[in-house]
Amino acid sequence: MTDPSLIRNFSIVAHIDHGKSTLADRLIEMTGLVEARRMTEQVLDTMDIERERGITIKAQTARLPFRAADGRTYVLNLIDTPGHVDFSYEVSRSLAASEGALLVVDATQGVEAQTLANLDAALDVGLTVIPVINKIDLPSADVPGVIAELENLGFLASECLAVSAKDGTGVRAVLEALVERVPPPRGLDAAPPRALVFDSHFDAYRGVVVHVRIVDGALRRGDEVRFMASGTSHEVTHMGVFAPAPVPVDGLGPGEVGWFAATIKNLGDARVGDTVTLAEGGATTPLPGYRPALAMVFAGLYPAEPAAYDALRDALEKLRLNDASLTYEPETSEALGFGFRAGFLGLLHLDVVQERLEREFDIELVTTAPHVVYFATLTDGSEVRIDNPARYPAAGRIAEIREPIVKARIFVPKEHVGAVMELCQDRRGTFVNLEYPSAERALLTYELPLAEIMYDFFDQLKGRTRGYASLDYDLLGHFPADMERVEILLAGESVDALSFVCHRSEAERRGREICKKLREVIPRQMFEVPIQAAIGSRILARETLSALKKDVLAKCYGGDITRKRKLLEKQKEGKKRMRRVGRVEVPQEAFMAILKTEKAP
Amino acid sequence: MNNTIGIYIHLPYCPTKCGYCDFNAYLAPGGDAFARYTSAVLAEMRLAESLEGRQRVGSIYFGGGTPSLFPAGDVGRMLDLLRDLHEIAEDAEVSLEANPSALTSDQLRQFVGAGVNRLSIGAQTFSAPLLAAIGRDHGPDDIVRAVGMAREAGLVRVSLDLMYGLPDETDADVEKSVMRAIGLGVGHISAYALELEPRTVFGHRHRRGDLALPGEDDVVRRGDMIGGCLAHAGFTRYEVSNHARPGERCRHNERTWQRGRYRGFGAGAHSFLGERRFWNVAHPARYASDVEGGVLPVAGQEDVSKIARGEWAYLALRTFHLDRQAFEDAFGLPIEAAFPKTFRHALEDGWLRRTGPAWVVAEERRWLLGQLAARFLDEGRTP
Repeated sequence: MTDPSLIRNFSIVAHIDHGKSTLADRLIEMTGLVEARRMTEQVLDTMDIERERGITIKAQTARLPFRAADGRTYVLNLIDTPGHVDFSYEVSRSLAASEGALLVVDATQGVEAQTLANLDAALDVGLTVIPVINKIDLPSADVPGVIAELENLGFLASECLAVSAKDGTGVRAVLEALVERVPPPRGLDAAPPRALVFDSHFDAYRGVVVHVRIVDGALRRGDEVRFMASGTSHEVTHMGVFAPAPVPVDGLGPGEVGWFAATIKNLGDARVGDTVTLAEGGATTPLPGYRPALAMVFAGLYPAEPAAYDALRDALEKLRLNDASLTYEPETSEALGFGFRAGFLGLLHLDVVQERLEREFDIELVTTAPHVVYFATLTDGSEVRIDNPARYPAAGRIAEIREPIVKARIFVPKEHVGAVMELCQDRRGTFVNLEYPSAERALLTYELPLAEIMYDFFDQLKGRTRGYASLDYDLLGHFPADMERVEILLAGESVDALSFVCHRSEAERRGREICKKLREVIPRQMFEVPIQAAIGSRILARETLSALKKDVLAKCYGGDITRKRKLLEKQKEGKKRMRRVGRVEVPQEAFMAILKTEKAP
Repeated sequence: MNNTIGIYIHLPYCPTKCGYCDFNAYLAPGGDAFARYTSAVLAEMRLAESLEGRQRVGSIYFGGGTPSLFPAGDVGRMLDLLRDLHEIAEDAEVSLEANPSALTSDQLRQFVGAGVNRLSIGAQTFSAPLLAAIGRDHGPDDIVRAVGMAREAGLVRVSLDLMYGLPDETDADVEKSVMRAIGLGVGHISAYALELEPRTVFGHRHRRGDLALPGEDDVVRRGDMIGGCLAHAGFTRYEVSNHARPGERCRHNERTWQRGRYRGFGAGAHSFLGERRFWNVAHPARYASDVEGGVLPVAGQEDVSKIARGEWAYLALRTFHLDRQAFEDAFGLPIEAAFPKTFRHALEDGWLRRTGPAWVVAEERRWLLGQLAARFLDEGRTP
């Protein structure tokens, strides 16, 4: 076990694309763990999707041996954090496992919304924050400007480090600063052990591998450990550190960061934020800050081919092994058959899961439009939770309905403040605050319905600020709102998978747009199909899909029957991707139509 | 007909290029183009015979292009060679497509002398403005004249091609055309609804928004009107676009719908010899140079043995009849057993009814045949 005075535990936080992963790679390379020539890609972001999108979804960890200028060799534990607002709870646990944080700011972009959110989160858990200005090699770098912004956030100019993670300039100074400025861990040697779970992953041979930061005491191989929140006990079979590949050790002492396996089959037994102690004679008080993963967004996931249901279930099971925040339960839709209602941390999380199902598991999906969770008090006094518009209670039974509201922080160049405020007002936002952290930029704080952010808010925000705005949000809670469930009827039959919940003031406009959109995407049938939007028995909008009158080719010329036969075959292939709803064949894209109707007002 | 083969000869030159046409057709070049092309077809026939052997021929069809543009001597040489190489059935049907313009009595007599016994005249419509609008170089009177000359030349079997669904066409135009066609006393009338093809003058104009085509409702109504008039005059609609008086059906085309064998000669011609379909190089000059080099000018081919059942049904559906015995003879099992899903759907949904030895497509579904054909094709794949 390592002498705690030689340990420095730190995270790296940054706004998206400010160079967090590149800096992590350079730190690893400079401490000699991975040879430079092998570092063709960013080492820490391992999933393909992460690389393609340039974001970190799963936090990764590395133990870096560093011989500092004082001649001593330190252990620097880098606890990487997920880089997206959807994963803010995971970020907070990684931070809680550290004593220090590198706050990376792009020298060409300056402070952004996530920079602030990350700084707040790091300060919340009492970390020493070292500001690192990155990308100083770029011609458009404005180091003095960024220093000025950081000064406004309470840093001293002399604290700010200027680096180029790309070419390595200044990176050594970052390592020295970690040693000098970040305090060593201060745990209680003799106390019953307490370890914070900040991540976990599933290994086919060892079961769940738990990533922990030891706060007090020590854990050893062979210990019978207990997870205080989930209440389960397991014997530690393997233990190690990240170098960054797993290297076995016999025990982990106070302040150390490592992993253990304990034949845990269910990732849910080792949740991020939980405290690990000994099963007997363990601690009685868990570490602070645990909360179960909170799904913010729900969507129906259905196999495009009904026969792929089992494959989809297996794939979801496998994904959940590595992603405890993914929740799902079987669901049956009249329109789509058997599938799952899945809960996600946010839209990006939904996107990532959807993409992994299609890419890694080769399953074609029909995804229904994502939806937030509503709570309702019924007239009989009972409370219900609604994560699926199809299960929305009848209007007469609802005494009160509450929708999720988030606190959104939007960082925006001064000249675009008006446009962004207009957008927020338009999306039922409540103004909270306007500050100017620097001469050029404003920080707008709004309370916004989460449902409004789900549609085209990001696109609108970017469009109205020429891409310069950045957004970060936290859930505030559920608050009363005037919501309605709009049903969509095809040929007189309500289609459960197309119904949606929206604010009363929006119902008619959105109903009309969706009917119009559906008329475009549903191919003509052999009969006329009325497409209607309705609240209860009140019809809000109607479009008519006229009947297909003619589908026969006049001539096959000169004995060439091949060309026209292929046309028919193609037509049939297209039909296979459709779902039959009553008598109507509906293509997959129709189920996402709801998302695509929102246009700039 | 089971043991006979059909022969198709593609003669690709035209006097003008019509706005709707995406067939393999080219403006007639000058010089010795016809003679060179004819030589190439003759060479291809010899080459094919040496590889595929002597056949018994039940029908011959000269299609185009505008075959009547070719000198009768060239047509004669092709027929002579076929008679040398193959056994031509006593009652073989020998059809030739003709354009009403520039057709002469002499030429027609020579075609008859060469062995042509059926003429298919591209009338299209009896409205002069519509003929001009679609780029034809003849007038309504030319059609009347052509039918008269054909009869004088001894051609008993004459067919007229009509088109409808043309730009700016009215119901009255269509009715007039079909009544005048019937009035000429021909035994066979084809009526094709215009199909907009992307790589045509019409296709371009349509994309530009510069072509006023009738809507689907209009086309369906006019097609039904044509069918009604022809039925009243004693014609039977024996295929989607083909109507005939008793004994006047085009046997060569029927062969296609019955999935019979045919060998196509000439540029872009398609062949089907039972297992595979193949097609020739499309451009006449490239076709000719291939043949002159002593190789079959095949551009592509497709093994259809695994989709044979579906193809059989897709083709037969064009005649609105699925002959149960013919299917069982060809594939060794009842058609209902080969397509259980499709039959369940077709019967539940009112597509088919049983009439004696055949399944017949319901009258009101004949405009939607593609929907049912796609199902047969899909289910008709065999591993």
